[in-house]
This record gives sequence, structure tokens and C-alpha cells, in this order.
Amino acid sequence: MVDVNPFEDALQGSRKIPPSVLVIFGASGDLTKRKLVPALYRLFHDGRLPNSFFVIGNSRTEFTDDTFREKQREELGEFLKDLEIDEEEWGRFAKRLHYIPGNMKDPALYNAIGARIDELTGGVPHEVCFYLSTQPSFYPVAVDMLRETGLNKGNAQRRVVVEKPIGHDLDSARELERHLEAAFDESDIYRIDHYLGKETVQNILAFRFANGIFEPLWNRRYVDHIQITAAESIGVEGRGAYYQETGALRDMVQNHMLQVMATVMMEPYTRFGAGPVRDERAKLLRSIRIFKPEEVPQHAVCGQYGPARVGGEDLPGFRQEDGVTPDSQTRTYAAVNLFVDNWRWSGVPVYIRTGKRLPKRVTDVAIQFRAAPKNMFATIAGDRDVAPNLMILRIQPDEGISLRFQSKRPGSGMQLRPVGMDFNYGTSFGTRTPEAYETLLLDALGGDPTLFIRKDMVEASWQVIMPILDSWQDNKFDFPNYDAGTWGPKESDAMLARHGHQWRRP
Amino acid sequence: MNAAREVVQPERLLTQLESLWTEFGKSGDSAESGLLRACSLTWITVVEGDDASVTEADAMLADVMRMNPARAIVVLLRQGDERGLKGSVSAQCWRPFGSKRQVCIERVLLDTTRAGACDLPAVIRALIVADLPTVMFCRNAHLLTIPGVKEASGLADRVVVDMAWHGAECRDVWPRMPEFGSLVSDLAWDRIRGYRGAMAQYFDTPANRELLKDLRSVRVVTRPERPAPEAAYLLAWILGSLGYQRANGLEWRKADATVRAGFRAMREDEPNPADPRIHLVDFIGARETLRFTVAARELSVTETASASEIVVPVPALEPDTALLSDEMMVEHRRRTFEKHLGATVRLFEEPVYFADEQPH
Repeated sequence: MVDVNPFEDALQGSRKIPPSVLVIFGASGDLTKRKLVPALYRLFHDGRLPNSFFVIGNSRTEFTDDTFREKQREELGEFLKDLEIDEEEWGRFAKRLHYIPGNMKDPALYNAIGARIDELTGGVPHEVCFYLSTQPSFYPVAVDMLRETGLNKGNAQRRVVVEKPIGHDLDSARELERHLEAAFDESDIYRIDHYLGKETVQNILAFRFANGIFEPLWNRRYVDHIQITAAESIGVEGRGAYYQETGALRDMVQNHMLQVMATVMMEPYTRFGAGPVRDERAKLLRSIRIFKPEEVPQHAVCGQYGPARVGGEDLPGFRQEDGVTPDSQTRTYAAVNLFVDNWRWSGVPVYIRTGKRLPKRVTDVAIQFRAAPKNMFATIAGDRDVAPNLMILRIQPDEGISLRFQSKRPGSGMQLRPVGMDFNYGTSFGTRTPEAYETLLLDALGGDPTLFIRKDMVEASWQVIMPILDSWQDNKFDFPNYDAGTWGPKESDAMLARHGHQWRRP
Repeated sequence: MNAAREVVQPERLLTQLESLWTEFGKSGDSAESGLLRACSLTWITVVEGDDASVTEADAMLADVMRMNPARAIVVLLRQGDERGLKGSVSAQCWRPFGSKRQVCIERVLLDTTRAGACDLPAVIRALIVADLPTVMFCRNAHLLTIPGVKEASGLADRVVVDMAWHGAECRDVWPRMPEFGSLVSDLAWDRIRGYRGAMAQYFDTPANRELLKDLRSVRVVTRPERPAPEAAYLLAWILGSLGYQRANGLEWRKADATVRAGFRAMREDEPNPADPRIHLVDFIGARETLRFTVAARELSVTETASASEIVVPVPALEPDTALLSDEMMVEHRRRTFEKHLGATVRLFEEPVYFADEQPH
């Protein structure tokens, strides 16, 4: 046998995906139609999938291969962005979609999946990814059954992809990990946090570590504090019942926002690879100070939106949403003030906030630098503080990076005004940026776990969050405490004011 | 030319550009829905002809700039020996899917003749956007030998030509490539990437590489008489990657093996020729034939008692604008291209066609 692929140079720059089968549990669900199938079709369109590639969908709904394909075609029209569907191309893609209905607790389902994999691949080695896109309560059942029926092993690599949430608290996360570990090696478990698949989040690494000028400033000596905002202008959009069980802290902070924080604040890795990058992210997460119960009220604020009239429209409060109980204590807003207890960041406050029904949809990271040692323009500025330098990493929308600094206003006299220096993706890259799920699916199929969460990262995140969750659980709050369309409860502003800071208005 | 020679002051063009954007800015609504002046490089296109050539270049710009917004400098070389040089500025805008804001790029037209081209370098030098890459596209590589254009090509970080444009004249142009700029690319080479990718993907599976152990011949089916440059590139790449060197005629050798490799003329009755430049490629082994072709839609295997034929699909040829967009993004040297260029030229100069047209 020829040991190496003599034509390998043609694969440089593009990920090699081996012949593969993707098995999606929960294939009739929201994620499949909104994200997975559009991402797979786009990858197929771009020629990124291998010639031999199959999808096997499963859920309890009784579809045939044909009716499953018809449903996906219908929904693709609604959810595929910036690409027109070519019917001939769809026809070729659809042939790769297969479906097996069945109950995830029934071993017969797994035997049928195994038989279908053999039938489709003709016994030729294919890697298999099992994608758990079901309700989280089914995760343990699914991985147990994969192990018991032997589908976790095969003639090529077998992996499992797990969507968030990984548990609803530390104990349940550990329990789920026990099931996962019994069936798969850690290297074959791909825990998705789709924020890490976003181009703008990946670009934080390029920005920090491919440029020599920013990193020297990236520490307690120059950084005053950091603000991370993930605001949504919408409410729970019919997901009230689900959201009532989750809340903002679990839904956003424990996973997405702590991962973004780790990306912004981690140490440089020795080389770009799954091991070193994830090691540094995990180290950072482990360095976040864990609050004692009595410290929580000083460092965390929660809220729930009430009804308001915004732009001429009457918006319901959370308790008026469908599926939500009238006395719900669910937090639709969370703000926390974290500290990273390591050499680089000691004493630098990190403020994280997320919420629903805030004034606009925006996710960004603002690094506020310390003021110049002496304000030489104080007399001219009338003793007003000069606005601080800000580095804004805009994750969505209007993706880009901007730096705010002081400039002299044109004209006589020395009047200062903050101005912006802006990098906008659209200015430099006209091309579309891939959806996070395109990147992550490709990585999972190609066996690159760099952008996926490791077990120790899940554990470290829950350890940060648990004291806050426990404290909030033990208290009854006077909700609602902020109006829809505002930036959250006033207690949140007070939390920053205690440190002499204030929230930005993104 | 008796009339006063027209000259272009680059400073004036830059001022006109500023005025253009100031005017555009006034007409924009808000920061969210206004215009974005986008630029990630300087893109120089050199065309010969008349206004129709500029229209053609503009149409291409409209596509290419969506991926890589740039300051576009279109150089039109008209017939004649007048030495005037005219310049004008304009903008192209589009609204990305789902965006409220229009993205705009600026375009400078430099209108001259071959004789007037000697004035181009000074103007282009001033118009190049500072600190960003500069790419020159000159489909007709002969234009790069014109005084003025040649010097301007030296200002570019990359020069892109298209050997397929030249037909048999490739023989004259290829050897001159090193003169065209520090990094030269060829769209004809880019066009084979679908085939290269399909082959690389297929042979990435170790079991599939068994065929390469007893490989007997490689045939690239192309147009008769003289192969397309794309076909020459592909055959040179295949044999070079496998470690073979051309011995004589169809014979290629390496230390422990010999194969027959060359072109086969596409027949008129060939089914559904997707592209006459490269219709298909056959790898023929002792009992297996592997066929790469755009025509097939799915990987298929036909078994007979004595042999099997595997057909591997190749993605359809991408439009030139897609290839050019990628050229604008690649800053490093194309080492694989450079490595196989010599063998390609020899294959093109002395093409050898298989006389027999049946694989077995």
C-alpha cells in the first residue's frame, strides 16, 4: 500500500473530511431545521463534504426517507440564509438524507441504525458522528444505548456530539459525563458551544495572538475592567415553558459567555491545536474566583422583565408569556461581576450581563483601558474626566473591532472628543462569514475538537455558577424589576457603581 | 498626436475620489443604512480594446469585489499610438443579502494606448492603497511585456494571468512568467483544482491507494491536436506528485516503476462533454480503472469478471470570478504550481497522445 496520499497538497487549506455518516437524534426538532440541515446543505454546496457522506435522522415522528426529505426541503427554504436553493443540487443532497423513526429507549432503533449504516456504506470504513439534538433528558439514554448496542465502536472513528445544556447544575453535569465517558473516550466527545464556532469569537484568537501590538496591553497594568454583553431584544418567543426551567444564567452565562470570557482572557497557547488551546481556556475558567454564598449579592444581580410599551407596541412581561406561571421567579436578566485570580488579571473586574427584552440585540466585549497617568487637558476639559480608551470586540451584529481614543476637535483651542478607529468585516472581507454550525459540523466530522468544550471546562464553568444559582434559588425576588426595552434592573448599575464603573450603552 | 497630450494627475484622481465619497455620504440616511466604503486591497485589471472591454471588466469587478472589496484600477489600452492618458473615478455599490447598508468600492479608469502606457507606473504607484496588498489581473499575458505595463506589474504583489486565453501561444508566454512580477498565478492552473481536490480526497483513503501500486497508465482526455493548458497542468501535477519523470514519449519512470501517461483526444461521440479542456482522467491499473469526471454525479462502481471501473465525481468548473476571488486572498507563494510548471511547459510543447482509445 502507498503509505501517504501523494496528492495531499491539494487538500491543504481545506479540512479533510473522511467518508462519514452523521446520525441526528431529534431530527424533527428545531435545531435540525434551523441550523443543522441548512449548514449541511451549505457545506454540500461548497463542496466541503466527502463524496461518501450520509445523514440518518431519527425522532419519534413517523417519516419515511422521502417524507423526511420533503420536510427538510420545505424548511430549508425558510432557514437557509444568503443562498438560493438549486433544485438539482438539492436532489443530489437529498439522496444523502435518510430517516429511521423510533423511540430512543428502544434497542431496536439502534440495531436499525447500525444496519442502515452498513447498508449505506457497504461495509467500507466510515466515521460516524452521533449528534444529540434531543431534549437533554434523553442524552444519558442515548449514549447508554449506543454503548449497549455496540454502535459506539466500529470499523472507523465513532464520535458523539452533545448540544448544550450539559447538565442543569454541577451534579447533573457530572452525572451526564459519567454516561458519556462510559460510552466514548473524551477525545471522541464533542460538546458544542456554538459561540466558539462564530468567526468573530475565533478572530479574537487571531487578533490577540497574531498581532504583536495588543498583547502587551492585555493585562492588569493597562486594563481597567472588561464588560461582556449579550443582549437580546426579543422575549422568550414561545419557549416560555422551556426558558422557565433555565433562566439567563444557565442559558447564556454558564456556557457562551464564560467561553467568550475565557477566549478573551486566556494565556497564549504554545501552538494552535486542540490540546494547547483548550488547556489555556480551561486554565482560565479554573482561575475565576468562586464566590462564597454571602458574597453573591455583591457580585450578581438578576432580573425579570415586565410589560412595557416599546415603539408603539405593547410588549408582554415575562409572566404574561405563554407557558409561564404568573408568579414565575425565572431570571430573564443576569449580571455578574467576576474576577480572574491569576497573575495577569488579578484585581481586574469582569462584568458580564445578558438578558431578554433589552433595547437591542448585541453581543460584544469591551475592554476598558486605564486612563493616561495624568490628565493634562483637565483645565480645558473643565475637570471632566477624559473618556477612557475602549477596545470593542463586536461579536454580533456589525461584526468587527473598534478602538475608541481621544482626538482634538478641529478648530482653535484644545477641545477633545472621543473618536473611533474601526475594523468592520464588511470593509475588508466582502465574503460571507460561515455560520457557526457550518464550522462546528465540519470540525466534528473532521475530528478537530479545538472549538469544542472539554469535560474539565464544563466542570469549571459550573463551579463558577453554582454559588450564584444556589443563592438565587434560596431567595424570592420582587419581579418584575425591569421594563422590557430597558437595559436591566437598576441594581445592576449599582453593582458597577460600587467599583466606580458604569455599563456601556452598546 | 498634434493636440496637447492629455495627462492625469494622480492627486486630482484622489481628490475626485474623496469628493465622490463626500457626496455619497451626504446622500446616505443613517450610519446603519448608509454606505460602507470598503477596501482590502488594490486590484489592477489591464484590458486591451475599447469601451466594450471596460464594460466586460466592470462586470467581472462587480462579482469579484463582493468577496474582496478593493480600490479597482482598470487600465484600458486602446489601439493607436497617441500618448494621452485619461483618468476618471466612479463607484460600484451593492447591498449584501440581509444588510441595510450598501457596500461600495471605488474604481479608477485609466484610459490610454500601448504607446501611452509608459505613463502608467507613476500614476498607478500613487493610486495604490497604502499598506494593503496589490494584485494585477492581466488575462492576456502579452500585455505584460508592454513598456509601462511591465513596470506597473512590478508594483503588484501578485500578477494573475490566464494561459488558456493564449491558445498555442502559451509556448511563448510561459517562459516569460518570471518577468511578470514577484508572484505569478495562472487561472488555468486554478481551474484544475476541482480535479486535484477530488483526487486528493479519493486517495486519502488508504485502501483506495492500492491502485497506485500497480498503476499502468494515466490518461487525460482533452481536445485533439494540442492539449488545453489545464490538461497539461493536471497531467504534470499527477505524474509529478506520484514521483514520475518523463522518459520519452508516453513513458514516465521513477526508481521502481514505469507508467504510460499522456493525453487522449476527446471523441465527438464522447458522452456529455462537461468541458473540452479536461473531459475526464483515467487511472488504469491491472484490474481496475479509476475515472475522474465532472459528468458523473455520484461515485459509482461497475464490476465485471476481470475488472472494475470506478467513476469519481469532480465538482463542476468554478467561474473565473470565483477563482480570481481566491487569488486575491492567497498571499503566499503557490509552491505546488511553481514546482510543476516546468513539466507542464514540456508537456505542452511536446504533447503525446495515446493512439489507442480504449482503456484496456
